[in-house]
Amino acid sequence: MDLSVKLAGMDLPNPVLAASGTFGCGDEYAGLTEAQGLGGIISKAVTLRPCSGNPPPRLWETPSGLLNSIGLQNKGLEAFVSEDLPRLLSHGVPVIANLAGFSQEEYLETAIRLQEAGGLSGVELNISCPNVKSGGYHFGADPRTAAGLVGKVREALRLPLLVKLGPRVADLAGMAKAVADAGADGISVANTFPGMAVDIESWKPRLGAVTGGLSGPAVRPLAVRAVWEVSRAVDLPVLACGGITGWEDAVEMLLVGARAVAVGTALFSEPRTPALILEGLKGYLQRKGIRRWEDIVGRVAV
Amino acid sequence: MTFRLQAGLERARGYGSAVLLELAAPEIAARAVPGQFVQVLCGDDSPRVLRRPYSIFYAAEGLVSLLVKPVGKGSRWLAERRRGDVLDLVGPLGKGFEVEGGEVGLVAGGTGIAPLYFLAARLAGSGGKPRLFWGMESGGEFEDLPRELERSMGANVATMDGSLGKAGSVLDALPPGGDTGFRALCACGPLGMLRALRRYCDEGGIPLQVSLEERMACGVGACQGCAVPVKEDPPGYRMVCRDGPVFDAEDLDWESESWTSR
Repeated sequence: MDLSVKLAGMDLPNPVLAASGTFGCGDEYAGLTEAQGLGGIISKAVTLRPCSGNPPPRLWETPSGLLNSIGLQNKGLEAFVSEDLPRLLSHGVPVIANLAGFSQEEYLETAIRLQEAGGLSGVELNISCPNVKSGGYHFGADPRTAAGLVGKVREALRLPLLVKLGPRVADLAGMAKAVADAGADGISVANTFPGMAVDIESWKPRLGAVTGGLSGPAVRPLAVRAVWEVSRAVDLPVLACGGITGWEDAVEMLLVGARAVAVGTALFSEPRTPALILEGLKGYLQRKGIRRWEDIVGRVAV
Repeated sequence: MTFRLQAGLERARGYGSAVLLELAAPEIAARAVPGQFVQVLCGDDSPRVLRRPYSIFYAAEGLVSLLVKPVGKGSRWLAERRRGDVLDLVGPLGKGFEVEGGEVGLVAGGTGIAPLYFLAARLAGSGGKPRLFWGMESGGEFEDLPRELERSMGANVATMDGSLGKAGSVLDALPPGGDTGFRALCACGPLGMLRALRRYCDEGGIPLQVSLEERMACGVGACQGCAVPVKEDPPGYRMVCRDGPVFDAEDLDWESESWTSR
C-alpha cells in the first residue's frame, strides 16, 4: 500500500512524523526505535542564539497528559547546523526544522541561514510556544502580527513553509486564513495548551516556570476540533498534532482534514508509536476497502 | 546500547514499605554499571504517559533488581507486582559512577541506597574498599534491609528517630570532617543531604559524585525535560537522563535559584 504524501510541497514517505521537541536528533532512541520508518522528523525548536531554557522542574504528568516548560532550550543556530543537522539528516528521512525567535529579524536571519545550510525539506515556523515570555507566542496571538512575520519569512524562503499555530487564539479560522494569505504552504496545529499544576502540600507550582504547555491524550479532542476548524477555513494542507497515541487517533485526525500527523508525547512511553500507527492505518484501510489513504481526508460526516 | 525488554518478575520481596523487585533482564544485567537506571512502564490502563525511572539496585546473572517505595500512582502500581508478572523495561540508561578504587565513602539517603548498594557490591568484588553509610527516617522503614547490609558489607546506618544505628542524619554517621581518609565520596539522596555532603567534602578536599533525581520523560536525552543547573556562563542546564544521573558535584550550580527554592 502506498502511503507516501505530498505535504506543502514536501514529498514524505508516509504521513506520520515525529513532532518537534520529542525526537531529538533521532539517534537518541537507538535500540528502541528506528527513525528510518518515519514520514519525517521535525526538529526541536531552533533559535538564532543559544537558549538555556526554563528552570526545573520542567515536567509534570497529569491525568492522560504531560505539562512541560522546557522553554526552547537549544544550542542555537550555529551548533544546530554543524552538530544536530547532520545527525538528523543521517536517517535518510525528510527533516523539517522548527524555527522560533524573539523578534522578526531573528526569525528571518535564522530562516535564511537554515536554508543556506542545505538538506532540509522544510521549515515549521513556531509562533505558538507557550513557554517563553517575550518571544514566539505573541507572534501567534494576533493574526496581523502573524501574517506580517509569515510574509517576511515567505519572501526570504524557497523551502516549504509550515506555520505552527497555537490553540489559544480567539479566532483560529481567521488566524489560519491570515497565515495562508501571507504565503504559508501548510499549517501545523496545534501546539501545547497552556496549563498549570500546584503541589497542595508545599503550595508551590509543580513547574519551575509556574505555567507550562499541556500535551498528550488529554488534549486530543481539543486538537481534533482545532484541526477541523483550520482545515475548513483554508485550502492549505494541515499537519495535525496533539495527543495522537494510536492509529485510531491518526484516522480521526485525517477524517477532520489533516493530511499528515505528528506524534510527540506518545514517543516517551512507546518510541515505536509511529510504526504502530502506520501498521494500524494500513489494516484499517484494508478493512474498509479504501485504496488511497487520501480518500478519507476531511471526510468526517457533518 | 539501550534495550527494551519484557522482563519477567522472578521475585518480589517486601522490606517495610518498600519492595525489592528482581527482574529477568539479561541484556540489561550484563551491561549495567552502578549509577545507571532503567525506565519502567507502570500501570494497567492505557494511555500511560511517562515511564518511571529507577536506579539499578543490583545486576548480576541475568537479573536486575529495583527498590520501589510507593509514593505515587506509578510506584504504587509497581510495588504491587508479583512473581510471574511481566514489566516493560528500557535500559541501561545514563552515566554511572566513576571510581578508581581505594577507600571510597558511599552515602545514601532513603531509597538513594539503590545505586550505592550496587556500587558497594561491585567495588568490594574488585578489591576496593567501599564504606557504606545509609540514613533513613526510622529503623522500620526498610525492615531487615539495613541489618542485612550491616552484616554483609559493614554498612553504617543512621536513623532520624534513633531507632537503629546512629541517631541523626547520615552525616552524623560519617567520620568527622577534615582528614577522613576517603579518596572519593559517592552519594544519592535528598537535595538537602547532598548539599550538606558537598560542604563536608569541601572541608576535606574530597571529590564528590552525586546521583540526581528529576522528573523525566524520554529518558534518552531527546526532550530536555530532566534539567539540572550547571556552572556555566551564561547559566545552563544538563540532563539527568543523558549527562547524568551521576554528576561531579563541582560541575553543578548549587546556588541556582531553581534549586535553592526547592
